[in-house]
Amino acid sequence: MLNVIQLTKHYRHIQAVAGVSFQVAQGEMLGLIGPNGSGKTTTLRIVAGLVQPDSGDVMIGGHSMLSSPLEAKRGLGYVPQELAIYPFLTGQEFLEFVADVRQLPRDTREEQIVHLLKTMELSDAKDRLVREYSEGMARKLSICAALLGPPSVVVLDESLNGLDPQSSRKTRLLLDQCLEKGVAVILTSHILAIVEQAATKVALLHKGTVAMELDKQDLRALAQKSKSLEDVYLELVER
Amino acid sequence: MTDASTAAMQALKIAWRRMARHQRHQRSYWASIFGVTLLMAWVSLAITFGFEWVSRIPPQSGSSPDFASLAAHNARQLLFWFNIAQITLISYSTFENIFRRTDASLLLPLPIIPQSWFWLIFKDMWIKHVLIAITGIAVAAGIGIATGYILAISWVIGCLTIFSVQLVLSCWLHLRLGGTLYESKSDPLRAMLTQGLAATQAAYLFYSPAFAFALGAALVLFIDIVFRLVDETGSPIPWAIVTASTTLFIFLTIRSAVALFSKSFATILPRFWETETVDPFRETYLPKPPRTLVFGKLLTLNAQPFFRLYVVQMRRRYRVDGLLYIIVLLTLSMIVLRNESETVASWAYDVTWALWANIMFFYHVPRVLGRAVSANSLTWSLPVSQRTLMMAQRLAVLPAMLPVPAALAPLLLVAGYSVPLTLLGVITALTLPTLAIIWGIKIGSNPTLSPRAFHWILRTAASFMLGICAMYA
Repeated sequence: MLNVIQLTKHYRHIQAVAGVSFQVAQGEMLGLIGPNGSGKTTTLRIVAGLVQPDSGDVMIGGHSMLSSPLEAKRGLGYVPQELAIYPFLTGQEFLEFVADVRQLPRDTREEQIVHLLKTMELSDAKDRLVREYSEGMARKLSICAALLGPPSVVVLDESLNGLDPQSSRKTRLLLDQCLEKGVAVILTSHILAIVEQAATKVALLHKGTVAMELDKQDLRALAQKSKSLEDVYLELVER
Repeated sequence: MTDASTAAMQALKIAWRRMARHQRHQRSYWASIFGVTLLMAWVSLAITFGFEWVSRIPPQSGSSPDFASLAAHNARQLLFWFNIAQITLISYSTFENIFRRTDASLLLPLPIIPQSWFWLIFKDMWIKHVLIAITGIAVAAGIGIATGYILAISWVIGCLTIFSVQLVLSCWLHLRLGGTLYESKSDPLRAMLTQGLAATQAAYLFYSPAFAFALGAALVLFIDIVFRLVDETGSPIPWAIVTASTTLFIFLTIRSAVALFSKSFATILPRFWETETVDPFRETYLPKPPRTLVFGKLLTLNAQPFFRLYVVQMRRRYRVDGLLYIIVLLTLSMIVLRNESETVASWAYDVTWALWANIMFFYHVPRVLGRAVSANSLTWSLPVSQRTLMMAQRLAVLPAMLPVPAALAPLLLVAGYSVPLTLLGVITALTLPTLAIIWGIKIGSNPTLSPRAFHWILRTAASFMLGICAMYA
């Protein structure tokens, strides 16, 4: 579903990403973790088509983000780390706009929008301008927009961090529904407990490379040894 | 407190100095050369403009006009409009510089001495506006070359007086009216003034740029009278009085502005943000979608949502823009009321004013698309090509432009111009700003461009366009 192949990216003299590769299959959620400056956001921005890599490629549903970006982006829902939202649309209009751009069928989109808004408890605010939303509400709306469709790949860059526990749980519920539908999800967060709970596999980025990959079995084995993801993370980073 | 404040201020100054040095370092050599060349070209244009303007002889003046009196008349007329232009700009830009500074949210929580903060803002404001003063001096130089130094000195005093007074006066007025944000009463006058366009408590502040303009306009009239007096009597005493009283006025006003700033700016600013963030029309209504949405049908299916996105948002974000039509109408009515419309030169003059109105009207459009209503990280992750997006953006701003040439055509015809000239005027008035907008959109869409560079380029473009207009005239 999502195939990231040997990505590299320099910013002047700084090597942000140095040969990152991973795959996320249908119905899988990859938790991408790593210290600040390890290249997580750059990797995800390349995946979303916002940054051109120096080398390597990203394949979404068989389409290359470099050679056929439009086809690749049709299957992508992205929530950036910073709030990126059109401030002078209402919540409802914003989701309708995203539905229009993704060319979702008219007969199902309304139902989806209502479901997403209701789940994220934004129904009462749907007719208010987005600029009047609190940061948490705007983030929830961004997540709704990314999940609308749903697309085949959803990328969430530190998107759960600013949410209250209730909203965080509801987002995970929505993500689980997406996973059941076969969506591939990438999630980054510094709150390792969230990643541990939600992800089906974890990749640890360190100094621009994938330093460690843990699949479902590895995560289960960790739990049996009474070790947390945080322990593994700290061991590796402080080594 | 004082030690902490001084330390914070010192640290801030060092940080700013370092940032400025870093930016200077980043700026390329050729960009600097280009900037200096552009400035020199601009100054040369202004000198030529001043020279040509005072030397021009309107057709009704007869075959042998008195050159000195004609030159004085021309210089006075030019000073009047130059001053009007500068007070228009300064009245509004000072407001932006005080209340909508990007660094304000960073500085507000720091323990900074208010007076020092005021002077930093004021210095920054002065630097940003200095091009106006340079232009005024350059025009005066042109006048001096054409007629001699006496008229030039009069011109430069008149121009710089308005420049310095308007800068200080606007600043004081914005701060003074900023204080009204704390008056919680919601009287009918305030409601009538805002008409749902702004929060009721911000009614007086909302009109602050307009009040500053009105005060400035009164002063411009006063300077016009003084200029006339000096011209008729030949005595420099009125200018001496103006200079002395202006200096005293600036001193007193700035002292009062510092006091106002120190007393209440730290409390005014959060209240101002609050009025900006929570829209007063939230509970009443949102503007209806504009009729120009039908133009979207000209676009492909992929581009249509983006066209709607920009049109709807711009309508909501810039609700007060309709008022700018008044400026356009004033400019156009000025063309009609002028009584020297037979020559091509005066036609060019009229088109210049029309262009000026156009540019002023559309100055912010690239800014809208580049910043205020955009969410670039989101937009570029959506399945839309750059070309489709650009088409939608261009078409979204074009319908807003149409009224200007539409109004210009009949007015030029009424003013007695031939059809080809009128058509040419309309096409020019439409094409140049359109190109400017497209260029602005292109630049505004560049993700690697910093906001500072974007504004710099935009200002340069506006100045360059104005230069072309001036050359016409």
